[in-house]
Amino acid sequence: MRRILSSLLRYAYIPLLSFAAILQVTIMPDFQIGDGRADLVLTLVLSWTLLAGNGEGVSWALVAGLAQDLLTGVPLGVSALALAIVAFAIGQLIRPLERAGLLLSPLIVAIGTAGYHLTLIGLYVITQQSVSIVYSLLHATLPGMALNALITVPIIFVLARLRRALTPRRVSTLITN
Amino acid sequence: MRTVSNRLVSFGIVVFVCVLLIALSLSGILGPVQSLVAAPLIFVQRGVASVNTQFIRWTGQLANLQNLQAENEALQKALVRYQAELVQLREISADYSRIAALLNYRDRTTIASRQYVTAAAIGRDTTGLLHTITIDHGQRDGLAVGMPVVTDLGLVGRITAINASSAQILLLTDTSSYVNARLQDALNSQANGQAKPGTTPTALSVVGAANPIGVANALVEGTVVGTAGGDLTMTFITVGAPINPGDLAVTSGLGGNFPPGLAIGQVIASRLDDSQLFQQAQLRSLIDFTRLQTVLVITNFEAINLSAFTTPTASP
Repeated sequence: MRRILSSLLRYAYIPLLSFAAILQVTIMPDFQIGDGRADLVLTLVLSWTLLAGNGEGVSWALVAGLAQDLLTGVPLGVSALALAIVAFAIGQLIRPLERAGLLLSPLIVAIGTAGYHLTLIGLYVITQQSVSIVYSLLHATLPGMALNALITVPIIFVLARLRRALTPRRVSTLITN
Repeated sequence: MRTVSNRLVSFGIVVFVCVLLIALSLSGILGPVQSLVAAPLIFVQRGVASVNTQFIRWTGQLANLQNLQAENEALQKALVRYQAELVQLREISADYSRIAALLNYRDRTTIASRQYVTAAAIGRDTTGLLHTITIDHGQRDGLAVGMPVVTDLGLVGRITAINASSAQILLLTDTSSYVNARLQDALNSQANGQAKPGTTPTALSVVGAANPIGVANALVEGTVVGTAGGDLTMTFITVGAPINPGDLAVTSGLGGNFPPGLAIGQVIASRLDDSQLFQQAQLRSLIDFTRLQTVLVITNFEAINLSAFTTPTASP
């Protein structure tokens, strides 16, 4: 029974991220500074990448990005690709955080936000969506970095608890000579 | 090492899938599949958006409680003033209809001849990089790409992407939005009892002025574009053309993308552009594009495709 539950919970991230994408599109735009807004989806993806590694982070990025693209009308795959690139890069550079590393998570998410926006701007230019690059970086990216850093702390706290509940504990054996 | 290479392979597969999806989406092949997959998400999104809208209205009402009485008095005074103007305009409209009937003239430009579908704004761009909104109606509600979108305060934008149950609107404030416009002379409008130049425009003054049979200065035409900051600028105005603060910009109908006579905004200031060859006018729309809740899609306007008139390139 526990195994079945564990298997089901393994895919619980799909509805979770889909609902996060819905919240991101409907409610999060009301919390903004200038043109910058807190990005719940990006923060969730990067936080999980920091906790679980870039393998799972990229899976989360794919699901969340596709849900977001379906809701916003941009070409399907644009947000997913940008999220996947940033999640993979963050995962390659930063090892899964230990408890002391949680202090760095807001800074890492802020840097990840800048990388995400730069990647998105590049993809928007390629797919011929109109973006003002300098204005967007100053008025959307910078405030977005600050807002995402702010919401990272409670999100990563909750995700850390969730991961602990879902991941079976491994007993390490100490071999003594 | 093996774990690293597995991760690289997985990442490579994800990138390939995403690039493939982007290519298929841009070509339009994925349209029906996207509509099908997005349907349950949009269903939930409508519910969440509805709850959010109610919450915003409730908190807004609480915040505005103190101002309600003053606002109510000002609106009642404006109502009395515009009721008198409405009687005058109805007389003009009746004369116009009689003359148009005599000339057998089919008028597609009056507000009464337009058909609308009311839609709720259920989403906005997630990053703030694009100026778009998503509405809860799509192809199955009779909407199509290119249809103009308005509110009672003026032009909002037009539909640029659509699926079965939702549509994406490109707002006027986006830098890729171009709308051909003309200015209605505020000085002459003042003589007709409409908005006075230099006064703070109210919703009723702008809407009351924005009628196709209002006084139009046919010499002052230009193109309204969105700016990076989300403002509106009317460009390519002939040097020497009279521009006064308070003049109302309305769609001219040139280009065939929008019906004529839709209110865009009022002139705040004007200057020569960087090239010194044209004038520019800064406009202020009465619409708060960050707080759009309900919009009207004009469904009986067909955008004209001018590509048939472009000069074909000579074949070798």
